[in-house]
Amino acid sequence: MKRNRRIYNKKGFAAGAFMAALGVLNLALDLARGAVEWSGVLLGAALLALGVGGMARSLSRRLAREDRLEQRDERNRLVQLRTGRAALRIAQGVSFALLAGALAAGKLTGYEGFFGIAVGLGLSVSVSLFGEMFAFLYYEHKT
Amino acid sequence: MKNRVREFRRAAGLTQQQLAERVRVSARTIISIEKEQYSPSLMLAYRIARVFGVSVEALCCLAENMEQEDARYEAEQENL
Repeated sequence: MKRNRRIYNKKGFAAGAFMAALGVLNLALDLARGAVEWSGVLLGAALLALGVGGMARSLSRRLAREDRLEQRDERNRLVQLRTGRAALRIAQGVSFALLAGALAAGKLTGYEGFFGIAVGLGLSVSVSLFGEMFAFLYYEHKT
Repeated sequence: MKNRVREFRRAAGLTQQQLAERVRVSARTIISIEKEQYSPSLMLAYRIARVFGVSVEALCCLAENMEQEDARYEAEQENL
């Protein structure tokens, strides 16, 4: 008797399928080019394993419920918010330090390439600061 | 924030996993609440209180916590 399998977590299934496809593509490209390296094989195998695992979880009602619960869990959400906040602060700080370093190096050596790097980093810092400001205004209004 | 979740859970004969399933959160959240590392939302506190048949005020030691918070606030004001 044919039994239809139901997908309980469509997002999880799609993410798993995407990762598995990336893993297969990575391995296939390495084989096609004839340049198989351990790092590429490991990456492909890891992506494939994670993808298949994710797809399998989304086909199990119990595991899909566990995943849903983990996603909705209020402490997990707080941890994610704090993690994102800390990551943004670190990225901004590092970008700003690199920007200052590039400007100083450009000034000391006279090499114009450093100023190009500084412009790119300045753009990145500005986007993150403006993004943070607009996000603040949005949530200040919405909350 | 001080709370009596562990005390009430043990009295009810529940494991952390069982309580977590009853209130629809992860067991890690219950562990963090019991360790007083995480303060639950009002709704989660209410759900837990209902499982044990107690008030949120009793579960979360609200009077005691408010006194401590007020004392900290007063101390901070004096140090300004």
